[in-house]
Amino acid sequence: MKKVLLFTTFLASGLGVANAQVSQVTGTVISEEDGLPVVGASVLVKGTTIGTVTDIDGNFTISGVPADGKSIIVSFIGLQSQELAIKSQMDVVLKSDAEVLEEVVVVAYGTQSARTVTASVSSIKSDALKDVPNTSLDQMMQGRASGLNITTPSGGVGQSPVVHIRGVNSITSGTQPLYVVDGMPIQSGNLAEGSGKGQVIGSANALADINPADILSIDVLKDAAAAALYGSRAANGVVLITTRQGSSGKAKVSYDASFGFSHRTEFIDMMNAQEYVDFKNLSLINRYGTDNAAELSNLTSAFIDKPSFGTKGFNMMSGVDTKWADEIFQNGFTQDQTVSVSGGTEKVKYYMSANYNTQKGIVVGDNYKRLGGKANIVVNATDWLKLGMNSGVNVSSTAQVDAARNGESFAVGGFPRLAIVNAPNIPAYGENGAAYYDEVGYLGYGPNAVYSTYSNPSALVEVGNNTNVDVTRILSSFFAEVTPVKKLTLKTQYNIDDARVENSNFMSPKHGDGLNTEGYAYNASMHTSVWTWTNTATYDFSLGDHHFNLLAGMEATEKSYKDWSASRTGLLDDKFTDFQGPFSNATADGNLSKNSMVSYFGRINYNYLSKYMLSVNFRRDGLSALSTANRWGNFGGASVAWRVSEEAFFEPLKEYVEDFKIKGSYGVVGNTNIDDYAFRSYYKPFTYGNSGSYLLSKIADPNLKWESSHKYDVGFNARILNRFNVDFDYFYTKSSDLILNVPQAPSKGLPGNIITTNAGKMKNYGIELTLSADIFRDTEFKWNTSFNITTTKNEVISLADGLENIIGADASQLEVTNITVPGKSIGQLYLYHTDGVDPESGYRIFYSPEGDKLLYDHNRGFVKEDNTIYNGDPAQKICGNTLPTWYGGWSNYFSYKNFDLSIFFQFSGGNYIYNGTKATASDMRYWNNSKEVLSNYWTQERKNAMFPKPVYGDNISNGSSYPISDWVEKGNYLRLKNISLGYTFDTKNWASAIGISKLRVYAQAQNLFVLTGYSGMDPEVMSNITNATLAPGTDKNTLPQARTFTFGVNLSF
Amino acid sequence: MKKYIAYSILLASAALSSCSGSFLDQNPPLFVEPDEIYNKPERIEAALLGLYSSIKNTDSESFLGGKTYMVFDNRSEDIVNVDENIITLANTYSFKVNSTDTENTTTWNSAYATINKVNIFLKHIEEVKDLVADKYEQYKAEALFLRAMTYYYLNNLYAMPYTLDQNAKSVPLRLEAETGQEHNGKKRATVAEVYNQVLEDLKAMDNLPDKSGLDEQNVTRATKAAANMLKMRVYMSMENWTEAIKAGESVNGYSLTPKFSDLFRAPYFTDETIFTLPMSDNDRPGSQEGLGGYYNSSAYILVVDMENGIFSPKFQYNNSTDARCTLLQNEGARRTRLMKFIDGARYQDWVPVFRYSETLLNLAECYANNGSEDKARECFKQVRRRSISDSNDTYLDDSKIDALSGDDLKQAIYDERRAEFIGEGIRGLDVFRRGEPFVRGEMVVNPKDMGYVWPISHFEQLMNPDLNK
Repeated sequence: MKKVLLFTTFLASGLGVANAQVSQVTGTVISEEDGLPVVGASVLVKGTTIGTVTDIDGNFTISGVPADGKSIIVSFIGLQSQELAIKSQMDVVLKSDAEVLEEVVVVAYGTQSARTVTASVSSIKSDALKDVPNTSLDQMMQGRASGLNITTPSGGVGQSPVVHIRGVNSITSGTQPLYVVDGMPIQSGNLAEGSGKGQVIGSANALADINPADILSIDVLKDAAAAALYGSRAANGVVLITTRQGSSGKAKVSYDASFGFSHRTEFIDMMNAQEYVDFKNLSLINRYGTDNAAELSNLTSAFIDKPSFGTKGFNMMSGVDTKWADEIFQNGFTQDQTVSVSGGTEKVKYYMSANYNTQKGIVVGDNYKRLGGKANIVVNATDWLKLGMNSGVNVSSTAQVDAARNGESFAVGGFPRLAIVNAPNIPAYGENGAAYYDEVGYLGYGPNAVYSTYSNPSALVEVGNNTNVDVTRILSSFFAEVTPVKKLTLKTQYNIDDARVENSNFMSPKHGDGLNTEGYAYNASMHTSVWTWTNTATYDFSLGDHHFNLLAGMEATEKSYKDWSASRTGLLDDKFTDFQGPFSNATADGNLSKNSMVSYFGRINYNYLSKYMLSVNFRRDGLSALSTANRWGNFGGASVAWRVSEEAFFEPLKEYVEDFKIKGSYGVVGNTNIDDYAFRSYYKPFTYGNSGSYLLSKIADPNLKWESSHKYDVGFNARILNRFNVDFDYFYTKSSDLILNVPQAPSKGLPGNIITTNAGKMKNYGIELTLSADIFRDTEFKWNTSFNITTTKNEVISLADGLENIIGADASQLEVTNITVPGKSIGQLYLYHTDGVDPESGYRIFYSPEGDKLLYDHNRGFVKEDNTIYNGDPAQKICGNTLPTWYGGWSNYFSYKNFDLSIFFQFSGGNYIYNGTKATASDMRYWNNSKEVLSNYWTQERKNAMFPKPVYGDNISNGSSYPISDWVEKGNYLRLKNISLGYTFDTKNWASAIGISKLRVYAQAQNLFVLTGYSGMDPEVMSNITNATLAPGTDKNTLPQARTFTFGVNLSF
Repeated sequence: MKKYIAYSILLASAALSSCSGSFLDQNPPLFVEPDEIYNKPERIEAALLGLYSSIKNTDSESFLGGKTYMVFDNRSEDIVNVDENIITLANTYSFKVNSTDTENTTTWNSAYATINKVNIFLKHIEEVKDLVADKYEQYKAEALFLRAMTYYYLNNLYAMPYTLDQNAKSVPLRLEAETGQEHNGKKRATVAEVYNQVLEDLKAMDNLPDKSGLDEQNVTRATKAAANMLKMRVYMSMENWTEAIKAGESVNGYSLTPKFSDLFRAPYFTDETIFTLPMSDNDRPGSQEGLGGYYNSSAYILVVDMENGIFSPKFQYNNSTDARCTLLQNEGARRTRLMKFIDGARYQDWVPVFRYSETLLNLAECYANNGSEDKARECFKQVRRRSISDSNDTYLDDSKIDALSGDDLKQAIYDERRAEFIGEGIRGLDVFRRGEPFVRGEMVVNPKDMGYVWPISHFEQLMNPDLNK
């Protein structure tokens, strides 16, 4: 292939006759990707016609370089051109094939030249992701592209990040983008969620089934022009993932491996045993006037009169000073290995890979394991028929003991909460070395006179409590492509996304949540199967300078979901820790549902001389979840672009600005993320004693229809001085007919007290700016940098009639922390209005709804300023937005000789966080408190205190039962997300017998530091992940993030 | 050339014709839509049973089959809630229930969910009268009985007692089926209006069956006797002793079970049982909702008050020969379990609502108030002698009972009710109906105090604009 090109390039470059022979340049040109010489690359002295092409070994010699020749330009079709200062000996490395994608953008149902793209698309190339040790692609995208905001809830394994493209476009119908891998729409989110009946269930990120090493590029479709062809599924944007394909040539084998160590970033500093005992006894005196256990037991039934150690309410047990945080955290270890082989002939191209990834998390009991394989084959059967398949199979397993996942921040077995509340004067391990708990099965009294019903996290691990999610996932597609006449392509593609999930949960009868049921096991077997059949026809033709590209297509998809589950109680022998063990009881349950959609779509792309571009697209979707009258929806968009730089009048500027394009788009897209039977009212079978009954379960609005979003975008991009790229977009999205659960007066008795109907309106707007530059490009030291920033403003325009606000709470509805109101961005913090600690009395200041100042005295309740008792709830107030209003990333890539260094910062801010963990750590019951409390509680000597006078049992003052506004903080941060240093060996000098064409080793650190004013563990936090849209921005008993150090190798043969 | 054009056409036509309209008709495989319910007699009856399910418990929330039932013992002096957990009725116990507490919200929501389900059922059954034929009147009466029950309990939590202020504001009376977004506003009715509605609904009781045998059906669905028991309670709340006696005397065909504990052990019903709420493996309250979980799980939540309660030394009821005391299990200080509801793991204990012993003690109270003290003593004796023989009865042997009169007699009846029904949701109702303060050791909650009457659920206050009109 390269030899053929040798000849053509030879002709094309039009070798000039030498004049004024001054000096001679010799050198070699090699390809970065495989380290092999590039044959037939053109080497030209800039500004002249003097040049040559490289020979079979990639060598070149140019003699007769003129005196004013400053640089040479090296180029080769399919590789990126380079301009380098002239030296007598030059070794030129041309960047890999993947870089070609900078010129081509993957768009809906096809690809398009970047120059003529009219839509707003962000591309992330595999290079940017190569050393990032994440197990899922959504985590990797963070900060890499403008318009994309990603929050990783914590350092726990298996959690799906929350991804928002250009703000939040729906209130109840899902805000995650559509993910399409090689033309196949796939499931995202937590595969383990199923239809779980409120049990703590596991986590399995659906996107973790795509091996990041297989990814070639990620393209994010942001505006309607780009996304509207996905119609009703495009409201939240579309992420297109392109995986690696084979190319003709000899088989290339690559091996990529990495191993990493991780640890928690930080945790709250809690009181030690002595501090705890003294502080709690002090709080007892403040409450009851005594800390003597016998006296206390007369005053309240909560205490016993004879603690086993000492005589006070709280006592020391000698030698015991438990740091509970040490019991829940560990050093994590990650290893990842991928072997791939690719190659092919003109007729058959293939790519295959196998991946093995294991992860031991930073939290005790957290484990992840994935074994996957992928293959794609494309066969050019005849000159008019192309067939292919693209299949991946993954088997993964995610395990945890910590019960506080999926937004269960109050779970009794939640590790972060246990690490905070557990008393440090109770041992983690008994004298026999086994994890300690009392004979009933709780943490118990220990040396104290009050009983702790919490658990010992080490014991939970020891007795075998666990949640496990095993996933078997098949992502497979087959296609046939026919070219009956030139430029007309008919393609049919059939996709299967099949996930089988085995969810299991065991709780021992000995300790923890399984005590009451004398052991508990739950198994759910879920099967989600989605097939999609896509048929498209594209026709590409030109009429003179008018270029047209037409697309027409139809798509049908069906998703079926099944599960059966069973729970068992009454374990007969606690030796067993599995569902299959001997239990005395079992109950079974199950669920079935299906939805289907049919779509017809078309697109016309037109350009005139690549100067004026117009694109129009249309899609009509029919969805089974809506009634016959409302199930069809029309979507579509139009966009225009003008490459000003192609105009004659621009010519004088062209020396500075090579390319300048202005673009604009408008379109309407929808949201399908609704219940399978959303428009139907129904009864559910139930039982009354031993007879069957029917329970009215849902009253629906029969007129339910699609949510729709109107998206506007204007922007420009420019390439300046052949060195800088600027991309700018202004976007505005107005979403209407938002599906809302409109609350009804509970006395109407509607199931759930809601009617689900189309009511709300919301808008999102902002700007996106990406600046990138090759600051040092032609020197030995290279520096390439890219900076992106997005600002977004979200505003709820209206909710439904009679719906003034929507309250947001955690998964168990135990704590209300958020409110959504018209005129403000979605999910505002909504907390009890407090105003610090009153310096005179030492009580926390609250307010009544009438605005009266209230002091909370735990012995009396809320007290008004006139010293009378206030009977009623204190006032809540709106305390700030939770969505970041600005975010972005800054990546830098340096290379010098064989070394490469990349540094990537990511930032986000403009939002507020409710630091609810602080409330947990300052609850005045028998819970332990933070050192911060110890150094900052009110005394006569310390009147300006953060925490009030400690009064035993006080769960109000510090926000444990009423979340308080004093704990609101700003969420701005800058994170050094990644820093990675690599070294590439000079394999081309190695004996060819070794066969290695590329060898690179690297070391990488992730999350090295974060600069923030936030006082909690990490400002990137999301406790209520199952209610992330309506209750974001709360940090309640959350795990910290992980810091990871990784070492890796990339090897190619 | 022709070949691949032919294939292309085939491909394109396959693509376009592949989907017909029916592809988009996905019927829910596990749900039944309303029109399918009301076109088949068996399903109509199952929908009626769904009303019973609803007043009892669903898989997530409970009303009379769980949490709300226990509210009335947490509002008494005979039980201690030793758990500080707000989820397990700690605020009810300490009379601190505010408008957002879960017991308030779930009680309110579950009650009105049942009421609307009843109203929807009543609306639909009018349309399919012919289909249910001779069952029509009975089904209607059963549905009305359940609505009456629900309003009765609401009237005993959300309004001042009738005896103190019959015009006090109570709960909104919802009597029409609600299926849309309209009618959020509804004003609070008075206590008297609510009771009148209950009595109105009970007028249909003539169409309820009499007890026809001893099986699950006869004790878990409404009978004339069950309706009379409710009627009796209502009239007692209104201190209309004559009407209450009339209702009570209409309860026939039941007798006291010789062995007291049999009432609380499988099969959970005896000749004494008038109305009880059944449980089964597939139908039981969710976690932290079931009776067994509160009274007999590994952690202690509700225990017997041995310091202030009826079995404490302050009274003379703790007699080891009294069958009722054999259900007290002492496991340490403040650790005396009540062994009426013992399934702490699966909450399968059935929930007694009306039993004949209540008929007798209700009658005793009514007679005592109405001047028929002989009859009162007779009823009282029947109940007491079932559990403790005359010879063992050191506190109230027959001669002492015969000597009781006036307030002493009433007091003895009141106390006997406490010992007899502890854990069965009666004491809280009794104190309230008499307009007495709740007294527990040093703690006194007077009718005017916060917590005596629950505030209307917060969400109702937000969403119902006419509530206080």
